[in-house]
Amino acid sequence: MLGLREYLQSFHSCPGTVIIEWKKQEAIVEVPSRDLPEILTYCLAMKPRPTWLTHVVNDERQLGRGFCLYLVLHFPGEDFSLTLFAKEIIDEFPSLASIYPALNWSEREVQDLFGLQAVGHPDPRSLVLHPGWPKGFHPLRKDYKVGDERNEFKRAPLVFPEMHGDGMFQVPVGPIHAGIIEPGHFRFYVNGEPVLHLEAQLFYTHKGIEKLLEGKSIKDGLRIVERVCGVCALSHGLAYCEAVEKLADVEVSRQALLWRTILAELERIYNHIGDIGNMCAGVGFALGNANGSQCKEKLQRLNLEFFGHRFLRGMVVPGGVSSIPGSQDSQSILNRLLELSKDFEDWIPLLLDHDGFRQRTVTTGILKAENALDFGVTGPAARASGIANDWREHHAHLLYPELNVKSMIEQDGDACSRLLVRVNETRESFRFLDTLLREAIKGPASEDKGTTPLTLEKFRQFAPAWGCVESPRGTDVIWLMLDGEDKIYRCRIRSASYANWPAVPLTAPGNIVPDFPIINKSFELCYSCCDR
Amino acid sequence: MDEIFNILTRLLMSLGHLAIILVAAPLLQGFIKKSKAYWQMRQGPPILQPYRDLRKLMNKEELVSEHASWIFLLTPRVVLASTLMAGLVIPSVWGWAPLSVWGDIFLLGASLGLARLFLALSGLEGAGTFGGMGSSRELFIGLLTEPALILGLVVLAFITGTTSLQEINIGLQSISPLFIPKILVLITLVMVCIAEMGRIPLDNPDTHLELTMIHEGMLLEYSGPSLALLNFAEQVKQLLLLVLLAHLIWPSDLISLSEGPFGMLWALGFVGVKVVALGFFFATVESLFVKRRLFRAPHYLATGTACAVLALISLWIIGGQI
Repeated sequence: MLGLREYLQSFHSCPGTVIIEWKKQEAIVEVPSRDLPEILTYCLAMKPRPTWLTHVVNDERQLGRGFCLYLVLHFPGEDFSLTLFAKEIIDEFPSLASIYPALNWSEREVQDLFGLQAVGHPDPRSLVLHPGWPKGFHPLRKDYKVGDERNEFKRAPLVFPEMHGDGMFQVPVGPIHAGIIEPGHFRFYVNGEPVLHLEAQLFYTHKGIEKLLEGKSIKDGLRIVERVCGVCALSHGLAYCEAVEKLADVEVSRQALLWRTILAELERIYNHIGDIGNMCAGVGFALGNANGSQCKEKLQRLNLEFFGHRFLRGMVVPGGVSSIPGSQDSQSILNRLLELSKDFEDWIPLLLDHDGFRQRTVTTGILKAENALDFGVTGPAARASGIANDWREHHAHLLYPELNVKSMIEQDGDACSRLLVRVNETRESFRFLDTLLREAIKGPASEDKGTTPLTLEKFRQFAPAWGCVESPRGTDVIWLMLDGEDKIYRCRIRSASYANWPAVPLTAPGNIVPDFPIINKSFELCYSCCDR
Repeated sequence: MDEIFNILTRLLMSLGHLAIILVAAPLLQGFIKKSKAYWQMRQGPPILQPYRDLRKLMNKEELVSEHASWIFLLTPRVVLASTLMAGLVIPSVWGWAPLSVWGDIFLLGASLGLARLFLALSGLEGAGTFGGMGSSRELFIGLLTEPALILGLVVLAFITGTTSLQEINIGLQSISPLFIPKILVLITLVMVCIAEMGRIPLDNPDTHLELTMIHEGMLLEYSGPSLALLNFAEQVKQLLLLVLLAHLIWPSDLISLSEGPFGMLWALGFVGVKVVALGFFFATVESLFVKRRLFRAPHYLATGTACAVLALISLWIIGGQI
């Protein structure tokens, strides 16, 4: 990245700025935390505009570095990622949320879990820890010992903005909903049916998984990360394995990459088809919903039959994949998929050509492109607003460069566009799977077992590494640091849902209350991997 | 003697009419659910499930919101009673209506209106937002369905020269099935019936998706026996509307006791088949359409009203006078 490097080298406060590592595609640059706003402003002005991958704060006081902040940016044009690293933060750091609103939640989370203050944050309310936790409860600090923290929690009411006026009502919905969904509280500020403002309060199921992961072995860590949620289980595991492999400096064999790509695409189609069916339920279109659920179920049964798990858990391991189906199995998978793809093409026009369905979804819940960019929205939600940000296209990993992936974009940003993006991506995924499985049927070219067990490798200690995978909801980033005994020192899970949730309330104003279910379902975000 | 025999016959048949409505209403609900399951490629609940649900609810504890007043507990009783009242003016399977010539079509409209009034009030009783939203939407829809319903029935009254539904049924037998005003009125009534039954495209009876519900929103605070009564009243209303439609689409003869048990059973079976066919039709409509945006509901209902107005005009043109 010409320009950027020179800029950073010549940065006026040179004493603090150190380029720790500068490789072709990744760089880590240490900067003083006070200079972060200026550097970020410079980066965001670059074309094409970079997006955030993750924002991590780590308690490294034991290493004599104070609290450290890592901000990973990705520059899509060059497939280059830059980690801005600020150390020796004591109790506050400058907030970047007003420069880059995508960091809003992340910084509030840091305030809650580390007790550091984001100076200048426009909305410094607590986020992850609901009111009721005692002052000074900052569980992600290393000196906080987990144990009887539940006794410290006292019930306290949530705080919401007030709104006054003639005919103004607040409609509280949730956290317990009618249906099998997770808890989340939505507060609509309405005037009659039209929505004026929406507040979403999540993190009811904050499980402290990032704290739980600390001190776990790499193997146990994988098992936990795969269980963060039931939507992108494979993507979480895969991103985690990529991070581990970066720390061990191992190359994964082609056969393993092939099967990882197949698994990632299998996860995408079963999720996309399930989401398409769910959208039909949002408008009471029983026929579409039935077709979607049926198709998804068949795909999940295929997963169970050939890979031993409906959510594909346990398939990806650091160094490769846990087992590789033979060419006969590959042929059966391909046959089943061809059948399902035909089935999908049979029923999808039912939706796309349905007047009533289009009437409900077109112009409903518009996410503007500039909002999507500012909030760092990812996945189908961003692509429906015209932002071509498919990670499979922008980052060379797995076998995606060979498949020549193109971002499927739509321009309108409404619920219908999000549906269309999913439909087109599903079609593309069926096509990719066809190509990939034909290669799998031929079998490995040489003695390629697929897996290199990571037993002898030396892991880099106290060094950051990230793995990122395009999950069905968007980019799923796992940031990992290991300690001196190859145990997890810090693992940050930034799921696609976490990145997209803040954008959902933006799409509600201007719509009527009964349209919110379809807006919400068109994003189809997960609560569990957001709450963690 | 003949007088007494006639009165006794009338009484017996009226009781039979009520008994059939009470017994068959949940069965129709079960059948419609089964038909929808068929379209969704599912097995669906057993056809007798609505009876079991009612029994289950009757035996459950009832919880009443601390904000609720006497209206809350009165509503289920009033709604069921007024729905049954409407049932007394609708011709039974034998073509008889127990309360004929008492201004039937207006009594029908008023009974349904009374039930709607109490339901809307009780929606506000729980002091919850969903109940209030349900009530507001129900009145919004009701405001548009009631004129269409009454207007449609009035056109039928003009065609046959009577406001008694029983006489309308008999009068329609001599009208050609292709008589334009009649076809237009039937279109109106089918559309209105969908709205009155709370089905797609106006409401979704299967969902408890809080933000979109209309009828279910008003029932949200109810539990136990009261909920059973309200659900039962809804099933009765659905059956009554389908029976009425069946009679208007294919009018049937007046059957009296003199036709013997075989004739009476035959009439019962005939109406049963018509109602089942209509039920399957509505289940199909519900499976193929999506719920409309709430603010598009007036367009749908305006179409219904417009058909009724057109019927009136065409009747005037054909007949030269009304």
